[in-house]
Amino acid sequence: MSIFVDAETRVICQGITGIQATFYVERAIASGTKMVGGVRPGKGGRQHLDLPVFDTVQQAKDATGADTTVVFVPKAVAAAAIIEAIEAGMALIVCITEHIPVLDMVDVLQALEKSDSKLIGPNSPGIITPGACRIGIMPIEIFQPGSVGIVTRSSTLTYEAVLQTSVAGLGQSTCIGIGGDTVRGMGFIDCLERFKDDPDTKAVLLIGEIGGSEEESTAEYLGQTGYPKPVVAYIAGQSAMPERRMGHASAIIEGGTGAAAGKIEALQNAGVRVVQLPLEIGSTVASLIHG
Amino acid sequence: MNLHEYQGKGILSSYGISVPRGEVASTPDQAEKTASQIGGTHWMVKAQVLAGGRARGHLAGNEGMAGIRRASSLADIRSVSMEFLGNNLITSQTGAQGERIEKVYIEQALEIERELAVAMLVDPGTKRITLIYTHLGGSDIESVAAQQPDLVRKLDIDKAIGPSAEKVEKAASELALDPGLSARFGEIVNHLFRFFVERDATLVEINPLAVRGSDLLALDAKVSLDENALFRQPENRQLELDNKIADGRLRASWDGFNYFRLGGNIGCLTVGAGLAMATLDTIHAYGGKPANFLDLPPDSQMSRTRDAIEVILGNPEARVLLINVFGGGIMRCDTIADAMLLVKRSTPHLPPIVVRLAGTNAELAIRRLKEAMPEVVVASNMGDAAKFAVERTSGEPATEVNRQPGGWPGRISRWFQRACR
Repeated sequence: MSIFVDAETRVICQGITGIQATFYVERAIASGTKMVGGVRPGKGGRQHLDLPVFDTVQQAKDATGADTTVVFVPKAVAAAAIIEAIEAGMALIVCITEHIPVLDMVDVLQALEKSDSKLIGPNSPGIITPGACRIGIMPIEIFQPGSVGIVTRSSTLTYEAVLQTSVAGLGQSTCIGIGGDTVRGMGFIDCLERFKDDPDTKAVLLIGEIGGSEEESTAEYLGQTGYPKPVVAYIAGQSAMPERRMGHASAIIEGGTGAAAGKIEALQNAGVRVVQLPLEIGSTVASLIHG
Repeated sequence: MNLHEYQGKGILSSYGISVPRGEVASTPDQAEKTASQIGGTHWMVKAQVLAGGRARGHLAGNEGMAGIRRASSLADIRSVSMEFLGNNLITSQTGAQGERIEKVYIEQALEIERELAVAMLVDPGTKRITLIYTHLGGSDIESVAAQQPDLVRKLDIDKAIGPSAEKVEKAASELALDPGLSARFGEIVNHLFRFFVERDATLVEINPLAVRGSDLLALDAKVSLDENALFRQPENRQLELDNKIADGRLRASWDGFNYFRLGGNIGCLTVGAGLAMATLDTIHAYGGKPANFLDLPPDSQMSRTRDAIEVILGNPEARVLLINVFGGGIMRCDTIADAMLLVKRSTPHLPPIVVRLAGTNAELAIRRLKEAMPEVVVASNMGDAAKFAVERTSGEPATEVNRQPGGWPGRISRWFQRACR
């Protein structure tokens, strides 16, 4: 078992003919992911990496039965690509593209609210269920099928965490990079909600960062639901002093959230084991699982 | 990307928001001339730095001199400008060294009736464009918001439709504006929204927004623009160029990486912001002090990586170079090794170097380094790397000493507040 993606997930790639997309779609296929097609306006009807290419997401979905799309489209048109996927009714949209303008993402979120689609990203390294489905740019070599569910705001730190859970012999059920952008699709809570009911996930690892209020609201959720599985967290930026701000409005709207100390305290109060150094992630998760 | 007050006011005024008459000056002569052109008998002289809290801040070496001063004669204008220009202004938002004042803004001083405040930004909670407003403008606004949150109101805006007339009317009545001012307030909210969307802003904050007769005036303006939207905003790009900052950030951001000096002596190269933060945390835990924060994007090629190393080594305080890279995605460790070899060729005296390489092509990279740069210390994990680096700055064995947060100056988390930066 796993969450969001498994061996049956049928995936298309938007922007499939680009250099990066080509590189990673090739690797996704080699890892056994059911890649079923691609989208590139103007190149419909061709083949790329032995996959059919379509002009629109709707055509690709109708022809291949795809339920999931990975977006590798340049930032200037990435939001439009996500909205196209939402309108075509894709169940899961994973956006790898980074540096999308904030106001474009405001449009995307308004479209998302009216739909049943789920969005991971933007600026996501992807989602992997080891041995079943690999979407995005994470290095597959460090993964192994197992019992830790991982959700992270930081791409590069994800690899550190994954490696440690592999070395500890635990492996991963599903690993999701939700991306570090402020205006994004799914958050920690959406993933925790799914991990809760996933029989293969024995513990959940959250990798957070200073800034924003995701960790604080997650702590509230965990406290309120009496979350049934052990949760471990690391918050990057613990040694940072409060940030320099421009003006007062951002501080007001965040209502005092954002600093590492507050996030850690909130998570600890909700029963989360917060590790202080990234080196301690693997051993801490192992000790909680093995009791 | 933050704008100076004079730049923000220039843009807001072009969108129909009233501001006092004013001009920017970079020399005392210019300041005096500007004041006489503006006319009147009273002016404000305002230090142009990219930080708030100026009225309560002070000049470096002069505790009694705030960053905003009232002047009543041209001679005053000249003497205040002389004190400001080239000096550093220290405020609650600048850090201990302050920000260098390159320009002053000379503005007519006006009598006003009362001070409101408004701001527009994307609320990370609702993910919508949001107007914040309060009838208690002024520099205490953050503590007002913390102590009496109901005095600071929020109004969310549907980006496709714009501000709802009904909600704006309600806001105006909460601000106790009379019918004439209420209509003007509605116009201002619409102007702000149009500016926000047309120019890809991430923040516009007018505090105070002053009531004066039948008009509302922006007495200050804090504007941030979206760096990710520069590709479609040529005017914003020009403003970015105008705001060259002396501490090496310009070159760094041109080359496509984020770089700040942090005042310590361990130069750090990492790929990805999260790993950069974690590396700094680990150095701190071993009692060391990082010289910089540098987040090299994973798609960096050899030449950009070399540039990044050179920027780090260009800081004379960096006595050790610590490289911590987890190859993956598009980044391969051999790119890092090759960049190091390039730097070695062009730099006669390198400081001690500690590397930790993991992930894609790490073994190849380490083999290459061991052959060509045997002096490089190779660590097998992040903890060892930090420990070795600290030992090379202190000359003594390092142990984990420091588990308390609060090691190095701020400015970092700004990069993690992507939408608010």
